[in-house]
Amino acid sequence: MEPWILATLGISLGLTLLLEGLIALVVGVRDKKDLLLVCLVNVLTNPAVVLCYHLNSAYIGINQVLVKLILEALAVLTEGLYYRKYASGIRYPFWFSVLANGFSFGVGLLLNKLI
Amino acid sequence: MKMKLKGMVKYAAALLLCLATLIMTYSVVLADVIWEPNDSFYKKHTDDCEYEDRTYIANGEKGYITVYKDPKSKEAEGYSENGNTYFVSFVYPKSAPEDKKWGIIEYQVEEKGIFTEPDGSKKTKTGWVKMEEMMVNYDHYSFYSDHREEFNDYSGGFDPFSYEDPILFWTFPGSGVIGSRIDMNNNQDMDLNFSYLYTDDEGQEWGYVGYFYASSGWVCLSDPTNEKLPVTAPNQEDLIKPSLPASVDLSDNDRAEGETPVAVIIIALVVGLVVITAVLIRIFWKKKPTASDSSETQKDA
Repeated sequence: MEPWILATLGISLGLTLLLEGLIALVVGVRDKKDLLLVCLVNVLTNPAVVLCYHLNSAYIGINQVLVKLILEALAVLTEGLYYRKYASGIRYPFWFSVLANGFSFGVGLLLNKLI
Repeated sequence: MKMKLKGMVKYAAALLLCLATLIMTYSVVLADVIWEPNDSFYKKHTDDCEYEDRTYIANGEKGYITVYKDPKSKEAEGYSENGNTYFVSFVYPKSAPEDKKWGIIEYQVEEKGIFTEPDGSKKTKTGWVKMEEMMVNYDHYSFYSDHREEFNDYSGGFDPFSYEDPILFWTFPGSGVIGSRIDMNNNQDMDLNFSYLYTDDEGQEWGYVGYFYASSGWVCLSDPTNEKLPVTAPNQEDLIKPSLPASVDLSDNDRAEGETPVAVIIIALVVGLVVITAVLIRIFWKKKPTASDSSETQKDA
């Protein structure tokens, strides 16, 4: 594993915060504390997901698509649980988590294909 | 009722946005078939490989480059002297900086541990090289980078069907290398489209064709069928003097050392970040009251 992985983690996190923040605004999340929670929950899950994906690629070698799906599902579940427990203005926490993660995942795939 | 409807509309809008990005992803396809190497590492990591499609010259600091079985292997397969030219089809991983990427090449074995560029005389194998040891072979992309300020738009006037001999597609103006010969008599239904024009130092006009039946290249509009156009490509400089290792030692201890501590540090950083974030959320966010909490509060009251 090379040190430049840290830059990858940083860029991925930055992009995720931007995209999921955007989705939060679209669905009507306006409470500042809830918006901050959205950011922190992604700081909690995104670097871990990206790192696990790279660790599998570097050292284990399980099918990458399967690993991606499992990691994203775990992230959606974790974020949904946090929103349900702590967010006061997110009415449908798990749906929000699915939408936000689906959107950032889709944009990530698109950027990968375009770049 | 109105508030609930408004909330549903917002979620529907977000869902549409989400679906649109996913659909767009699957709409971006490659028009032509791209040759893929028969390499087990490449097949396992296709998603993380990027199409390179360029020729490079071996230019290792020690006078040779090291060829590995794959980017994760700790032992070298062999060595190749500087000056050997290899076609790099794909690089890995996508997210790495340019000088940290690995490229997949095909080589032929001259003797145990010594490889050369394929010349068709022997069976080829695939291997991976560090891109920092490779020097790009001056090509169309290099030419574009050096001369793009001099390009102009094509304004028409070239009739490829007026030539009996095939139209020549050169790799770039002055390369001396013909990429394709196109007999326009066999392609009457499609005209050549020139993306941009370039005028060389001799005053010859060149037009770039980005795509024509899976071919691309530069046409000398002033002399499109002449196979003896002068070669004016810049000399390949900065090639480090070729040599080979004194003994073909196929282990690479330098790679094994240092890699594990870096991985451990990165893992520790991420775990630390996760723990700190979880603690912050727990301290600064109050748990939302559940239904059972509210009914107990009411009983107490």
